[in-house]
Amino acid sequence: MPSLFRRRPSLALRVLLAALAALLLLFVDQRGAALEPLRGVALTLLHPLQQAVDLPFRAWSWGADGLRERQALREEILALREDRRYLRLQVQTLAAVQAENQRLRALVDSVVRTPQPLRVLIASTVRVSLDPYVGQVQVDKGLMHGVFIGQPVLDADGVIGQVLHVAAQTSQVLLITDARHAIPVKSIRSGVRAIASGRGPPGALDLPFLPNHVDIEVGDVLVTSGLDDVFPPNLPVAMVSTINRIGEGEFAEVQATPSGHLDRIQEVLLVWPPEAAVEPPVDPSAGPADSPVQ
Amino acid sequence: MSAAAAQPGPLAVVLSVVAACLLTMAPVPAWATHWQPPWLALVLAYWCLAQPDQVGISVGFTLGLLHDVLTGTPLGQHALALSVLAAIVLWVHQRIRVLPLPQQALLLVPALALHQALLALVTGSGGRPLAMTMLLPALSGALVWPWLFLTLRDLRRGSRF
Repeated sequence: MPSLFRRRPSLALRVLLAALAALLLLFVDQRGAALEPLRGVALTLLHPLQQAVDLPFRAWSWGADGLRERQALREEILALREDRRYLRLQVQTLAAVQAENQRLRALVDSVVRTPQPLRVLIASTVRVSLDPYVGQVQVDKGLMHGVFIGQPVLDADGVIGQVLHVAAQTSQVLLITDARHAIPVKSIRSGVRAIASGRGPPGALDLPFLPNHVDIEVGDVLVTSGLDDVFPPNLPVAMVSTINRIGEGEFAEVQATPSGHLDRIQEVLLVWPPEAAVEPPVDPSAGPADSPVQ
Repeated sequence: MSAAAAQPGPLAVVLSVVAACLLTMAPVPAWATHWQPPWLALVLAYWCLAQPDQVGISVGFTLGLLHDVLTGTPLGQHALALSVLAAIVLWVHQRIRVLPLPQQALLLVPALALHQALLALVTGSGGRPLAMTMLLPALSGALVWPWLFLTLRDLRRGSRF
């Protein structure tokens, strides 16, 4: 039985202590990664809980798949086979184009910069809804799959964010539309560099600090500039949607729409940066055979 | 009421907390995201009313940390908000627990609103814009309170885990 007369610190004192502890935690957590291992361990321990949330949906789709008719499956297989044939054909033409590109590059400058194929891993988003005010999703790959903090995350159409926290089997991805996120970009058309920072979901990106006279137009495609050592260069990020040039000598208000489908993320690509840039030796035979002599 | 019924083990609390976590993380349709009740806050408020000697500020703090880890929010954000909520409920628990359910729910609105405001202030300090929609969960929380209260009371009374 709790005694009525048990001595405890007053309510005000206790809540003050708790609030101070929480603020201290917040402070430490915001400035640096000191608490990151702790969070990783806690997330890993809580993994079963998250699995439990996901379970009904998994069971549902499992059951739905099982009940789908044989005929439908057969048709799907046929369609996929056709797709595969078509894609293989495309890959072959791509290889030819790539070889040609390489030859032309060798012509232009002796430095052959082969676009190294990026190592990628496909991850699915775990079906947990997070804070609607935070641009963040959770994916089902983690430390065990080699995921690391700051790793770029793409979907089929462009950059969608980077890894924020990692646990053993899951990780949390900060989207480029989150107010905490900024990504250096450049315009493909004009080469103008800028920073694209998030405005909070669901949202567009802001391109602050661009002078009024800057060469940027609505419809310009923005790609990663690779200046941050986080994102590999030349990945599509967004397309300029509105430009508002006000006054003289002021900054233009430029906004862009993300290329990736941030509002319906299902499968994402986790990307590893190219391995310590090994320059392939220049193949002399790759040069044009029919180049005019002298 | 026997002493055993008045003092069920911590299992009932743990069970309800797990359920609250599941509800927090359960996917909801897009229109409902702004209306999602703060389940952990409500469960905490209930146990602070029902067992103020066992559940208080430190439990609130721990649940807050749990919430922060689960949803990837800055560590300490929910810990702060839930600690303060626990303190408020403890402060008024003797007056509130005797009221009929609708009035309890009504009195919970300002407490939950403060809870939401604290959350918003902490995120706001991280550079995110503040929005009035952040107060909606206080209303939805009050709406589900009577239902939640009865469920948890049955859990507490019916079980002597």
